[in-house]
Amino acid sequence: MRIDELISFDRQPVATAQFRQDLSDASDQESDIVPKLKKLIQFKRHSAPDQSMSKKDYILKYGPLHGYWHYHLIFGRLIVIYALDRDQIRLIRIGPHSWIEGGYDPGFEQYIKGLKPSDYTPFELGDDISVSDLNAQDLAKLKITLYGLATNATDRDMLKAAVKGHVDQDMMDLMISNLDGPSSDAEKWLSIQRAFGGMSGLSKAIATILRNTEIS
Amino acid sequence: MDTNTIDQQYLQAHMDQLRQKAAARRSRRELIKSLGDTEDDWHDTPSAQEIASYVKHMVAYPQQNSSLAERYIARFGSKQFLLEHLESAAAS
Repeated sequence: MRIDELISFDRQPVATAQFRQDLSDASDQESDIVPKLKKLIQFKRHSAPDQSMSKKDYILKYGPLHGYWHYHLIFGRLIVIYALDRDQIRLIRIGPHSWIEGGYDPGFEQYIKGLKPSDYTPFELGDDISVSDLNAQDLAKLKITLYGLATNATDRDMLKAAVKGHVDQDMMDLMISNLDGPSSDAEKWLSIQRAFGGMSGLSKAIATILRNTEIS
Repeated sequence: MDTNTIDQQYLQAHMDQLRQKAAARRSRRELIKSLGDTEDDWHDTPSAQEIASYVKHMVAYPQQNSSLAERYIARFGSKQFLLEHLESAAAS
């Protein structure tokens, strides 16, 4: 076991003034940047020092910014540059991927290397960054979906199996597809179950719908 | 809720849209599996098209993550086969 695995990290996010400006500019143009950033921060608060959140998050291994991290907010186009230490997630800049392709912009490199601890201040994006409870509109869409499935011969069998506890992937895909947002499919499925009071509640809801519908 | 109160045209359009989205989810899942990755590796990437574009990008700019680019290429035998697979996955 590595020493990292024995240490519990609780890093605090801090950001440069330039990062705040970058975020403001970028979020004006791309609406889903803030939730993506929240997920990254949540993950990095407790992750091991070399642990990536996903394939789009990795440490720069070569060049003048060796040791810094970058995460693709929009693949190949918009990245966040940050650094990790034991106690902090230091958010440095948000900008184009071209910053780290091939040659580095000397001004960008100079800016990063010139940063001092006093250039960072605490950064908050809100506490609740997990999957929020489903709103009334989401819930209505889920119920309509169940009715839609119940009135189709093939899908009705899928619902009958679900009542017995056998939820197949197709049904999960259909239900999850009602929900937008950056959460993973697993999180969305859990959120759906919670909205119905757990899997048993969902099964009961499906059984009720099956009783009250017939194939159209 | 009663099915009689649901506009049938709306219901049909809703279900058609959901089936399209579900098919896109299946394509995404199959691509992830074909790359030898897990859902967790790509949880922040919504579509097969975006994953395919990102892997192509990774292969085009391997300087910062060469080991991963090499693993993908090795899995498909050549860069050409990998790119063809990605094109096909993005088109599905």
